[in-house]
Amino acid sequence: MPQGAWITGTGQTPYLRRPDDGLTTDSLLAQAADEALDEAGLHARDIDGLAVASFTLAPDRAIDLATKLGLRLHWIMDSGLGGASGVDMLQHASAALDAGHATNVLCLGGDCFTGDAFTRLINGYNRSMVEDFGGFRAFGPNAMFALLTTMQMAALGLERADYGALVCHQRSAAAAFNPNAAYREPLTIDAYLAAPIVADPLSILDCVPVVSGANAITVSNQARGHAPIRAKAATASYNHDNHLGDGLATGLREAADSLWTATGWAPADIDVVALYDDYPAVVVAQLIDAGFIGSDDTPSALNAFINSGIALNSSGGQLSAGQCGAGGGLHGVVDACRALARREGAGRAFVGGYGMVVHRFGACANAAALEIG
Amino acid sequence: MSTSTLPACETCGWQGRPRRIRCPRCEGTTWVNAPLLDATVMALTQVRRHLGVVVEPPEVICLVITDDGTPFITRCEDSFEPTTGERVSLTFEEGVVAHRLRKSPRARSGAKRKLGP
Repeated sequence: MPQGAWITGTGQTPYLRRPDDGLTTDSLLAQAADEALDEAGLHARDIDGLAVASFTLAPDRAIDLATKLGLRLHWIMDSGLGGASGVDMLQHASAALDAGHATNVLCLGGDCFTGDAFTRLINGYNRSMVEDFGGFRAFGPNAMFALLTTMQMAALGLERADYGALVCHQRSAAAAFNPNAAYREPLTIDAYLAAPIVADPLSILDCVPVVSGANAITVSNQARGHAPIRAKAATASYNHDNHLGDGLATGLREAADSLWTATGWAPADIDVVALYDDYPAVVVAQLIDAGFIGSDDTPSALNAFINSGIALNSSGGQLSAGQCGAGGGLHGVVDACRALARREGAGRAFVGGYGMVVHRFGACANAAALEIG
Repeated sequence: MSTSTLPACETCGWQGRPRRIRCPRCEGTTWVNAPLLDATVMALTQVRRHLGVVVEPPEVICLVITDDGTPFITRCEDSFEPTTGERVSLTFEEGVVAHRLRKSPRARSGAKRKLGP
C-alpha cells in the first residue's frame, strides 16, 4: 500500500428488494459513482482509473462501463471476487496510485436483480455448482452455510440466540445510520427466534436478503473531499487451505496477521469493524480469525464484543441492509468510511472481505486498514 | 447416471470435490476412478425455502466425512433422513448422494482405497 492512498469519496444507492423492471446494473453503478465523485469534489474528467465488480453487468465489462460513463483511463480492472471484491479493488487501486499508473481511481460494485437474474446467478455460479449440485432440488448458499453454522455451533458452543444478538445489534445500527438499508425496523430477540426457518438452523433473518444496488469509492493519491480516509494497508489470502479444511477458519487469519504486521496496529486499536456478513456465522469466524474475540468461551466473548461500543457493521451490515451482489464487497468499505467520518475525530477501521464460495465455503478473504484524522 | 465411483488421484488416492486438475495433497495430475468410501454424517439441514419458494418436502442435505477423512456435501436418496453420526454409503449422480448403509462385500468401514504403485 502506498503512503498516499486516500479514499476521498463514497457512494451508495438505496438497496431495493423489488427493483423496477427497467432498472439496470449500469445505471445503479453510475448513480453510486456520481455520489462518490460529488463527495470527493471530483469530476468524471478527473478519473483516470476504474475498477468494477458486478455479476449482472455482463456481457459488459469495465471497459464498456467506462465508455458509458465517459471515462478516459490509464488503468482499469474487472474484479471477480464478489464479497472480497471491495478490498481487492482498493488494494489494486492503491498499488496503481503508488506506481503512478493513475491519480484518481473510481471503484464500483453492484448488481441489479430483475426477473430471474438471481436464480440464474446461483444455479450457474461456477462449475462446481453445476457439476456437484446439479441434481439437488434446493441447493444454494443458504444450505451450505446452514451446514457450516451447525458445525460452528458444535465447535464453539454457540446457540441461535448468540447469533440473534448480533443480528439484532446490526438491525439497530441500520435504523440509526443507514437510510439505504432494506430493513430498518427494530428487531427483538424473540422475533428473531420465531422467524421462519429457511434451512435449519438458519431462519430468514440469518440469510442475507438479496437487493439491487451499488457502492462506489474514489481512491486518490492525495487527501481531498470532506472526510478523506487514509487507506493504510490491504492484505489478502485466497484459497488459503486449498478447500481441504472445514470452513470454520477463513483465510482472514492469514490476511489479518499480515495486516496487523503491516500497520503495527492490534485489534484493541480499532474503533470501527466492518465484516462481510452474508450469514452471522461468517461474522463470528472473522471476529475470531482477525483476533477480535477468542475461540475460548466464544458466546461470552461475542456478546461482550457486540456490547463493547465498537462500531460493528454500523450500516446494519448486509443482514439488514441487503446484499447487492458483488456490490456487497464494497459495502463494508463504504460502511467503514462513513462510520469513521461520523466520529468527527481520529479513528481506525478494520474491513474484512470474504466470499466466492468454490464448493463448501468462501475461498477468498482479505482485509483493509483505514484511518481518519 | 448414478455411479459409485469418483476420480481419485492415482498417486495418493485423494478423492474429493470440487473436481481438481492438480491433486491438493500431492500435486499429482493423473486421475483414475475409484470407489466412494462409506461416510459419517457430521451435520445436516432441511432446506424449507429456496429462492423464495417453499420446498415441499424439504430437501435433506448433509455434510459427511468419508472413512479417509474427505468431506462431501450430499443430498439424500428419496425419503432417507439420516441423523448426525449415522453411517451412510455414497454414490454420485449430478452430485454426491447419501444412502442408507447396506451390508455389501464392497469396501466398508475402515477400508482404504488401494491406488497407485
